Amino acid sequence: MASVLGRSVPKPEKQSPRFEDVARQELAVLYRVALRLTHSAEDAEDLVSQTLLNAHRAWGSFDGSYPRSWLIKILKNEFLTQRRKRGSAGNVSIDSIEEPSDEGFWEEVSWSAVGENILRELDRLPEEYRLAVALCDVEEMSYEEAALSLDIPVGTVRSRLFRGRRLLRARLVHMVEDSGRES
Amino acid sequence: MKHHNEDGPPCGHMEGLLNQAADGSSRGLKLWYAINHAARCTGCGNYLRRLRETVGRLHSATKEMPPTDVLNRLEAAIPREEGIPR
Ligand SMILES: [Zn+2]
Repeated sequence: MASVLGRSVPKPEKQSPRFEDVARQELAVLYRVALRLTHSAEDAEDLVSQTLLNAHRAWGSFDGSYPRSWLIKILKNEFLTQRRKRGSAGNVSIDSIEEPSDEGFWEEVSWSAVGENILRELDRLPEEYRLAVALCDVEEMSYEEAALSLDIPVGTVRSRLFRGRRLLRARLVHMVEDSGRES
Repeated sequence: MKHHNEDGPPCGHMEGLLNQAADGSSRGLKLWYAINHAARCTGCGNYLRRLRETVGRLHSATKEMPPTDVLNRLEAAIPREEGIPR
């Protein structure tokens, strides 16, 4: 109990964060992750809106730790639900697609030619690698936070991230080569 | 130390350590070990340099912000009732 001029004043109670404050703080990250998943501004906006509703419904059972990871996990689940409903062909497990090649990783990248296109190339990686790289390297989340977001073990985050980096770099080499041939 | 392949996969046990050195998630002995190995092993040195370039570019990539009208709509879409996490 704090004392001011001899009188005791009650200590303010520690406030639990309000849903709207937590959500507002994460809007930009949620929108970017939604863009990485949907490749469409319109769909990304819809996905984030639905995520906010789902998250608000689940707010009472949220333990308050890692709100960003918690929200991204809800967003990803909503994305998967929507995709299942649409019966989209994009719903392919990582094991069933042909593994992309990281051939090119060892060549030099012309970074000036890559410029801001790095995220565009990231968006062309298979989803599992794209998300691991987006969360860990673009959003700069820890491996543990990314694992919570994606609901996978930390070891799986690591392997997807490490491979995703190699694939992305290889893509950048090819992107510059292709744009050089076109011009 | 001469790596068997200067432009090839890193030494088997080094991939994780080099990735963590590249993204700044390792500290202390793990970081020291990775840097020290990469300084003496050409292949792992090349690998670490390429990873650092790639990760550095991703860290500094412009993070797209939602356009103002989208942000306004999303803010308006946040349910307002208060709830308290357990
Ligand atoms: Zn080595």
